[in-house]
Amino acid sequence: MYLVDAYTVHAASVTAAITIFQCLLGALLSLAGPAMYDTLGLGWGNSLLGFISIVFFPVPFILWIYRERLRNAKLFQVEI
Amino acid sequence: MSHTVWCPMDATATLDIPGGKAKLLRKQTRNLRLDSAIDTTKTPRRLFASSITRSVKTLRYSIVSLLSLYAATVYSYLYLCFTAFEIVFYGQYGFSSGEAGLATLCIGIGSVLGCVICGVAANAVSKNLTEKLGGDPKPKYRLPPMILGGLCTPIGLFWYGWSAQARVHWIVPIIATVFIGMGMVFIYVRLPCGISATFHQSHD
Repeated sequence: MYLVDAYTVHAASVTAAITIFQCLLGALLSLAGPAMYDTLGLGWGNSLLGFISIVFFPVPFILWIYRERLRNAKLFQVEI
Repeated sequence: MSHTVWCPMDATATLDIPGGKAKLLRKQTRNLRLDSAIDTTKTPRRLFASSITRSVKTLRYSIVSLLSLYAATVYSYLYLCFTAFEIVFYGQYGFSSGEAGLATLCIGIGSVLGCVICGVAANAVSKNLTEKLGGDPKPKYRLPPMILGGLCTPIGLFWYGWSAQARVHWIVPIIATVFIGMGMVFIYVRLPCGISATFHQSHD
């Protein structure tokens, strides 16, 4: 009954979730930054960040291939 | 509501009628099953509570949590860069604090470049793929520029890190930050667009 409107709201909630997460990590990681550069040095410190972003590199491919399946999977359906 | 559609003949259809209008129509047609699509049975307090917690609940979708983790990681690199610039340019290259602040300009240039390239590329790729694969344009056709972001960010980070470590001329790490800025925009501009399109398109 409420699907059309519920899912419009849903899209906004998803965007909100991403934003909350972004801001939290943005605030926390920059606090840890100087300590990391002290320990690892600039080269390895930034390389660590680089390696982490390489880990995320397949995300668009995963999305492309599994998006429909992931979204429709019973396990990930949440009653909202 | 710009898309008010109702059909009093079929009481089982999803009706999209605002609350006041539904009341009026119920009176006019004497059909008690007419209901507004945006009307809920919840009290305002419960509606507020469920709306405010809904965004946290959506993190239980694996796809949302994966994407927000990616966006959050890349976004936090931006702030990490701001912290690191002080160490690199103020500490190591002997810039004044004003000049060290100017170093962030290149992230800005990268972001603007990223926005322009991303906009042009996303449209072109989406159009190309729609023609090639046939059918309607899908939100996933707008994903490929994100791959570019996935490449740009690590390249920029390695370049920036090791050139600063090697203490080469300051312009070298600065040019690297253009790539970091560009990669970040590729990723987190594309991401929310893609996901809101996904959730919107699936049920309308």
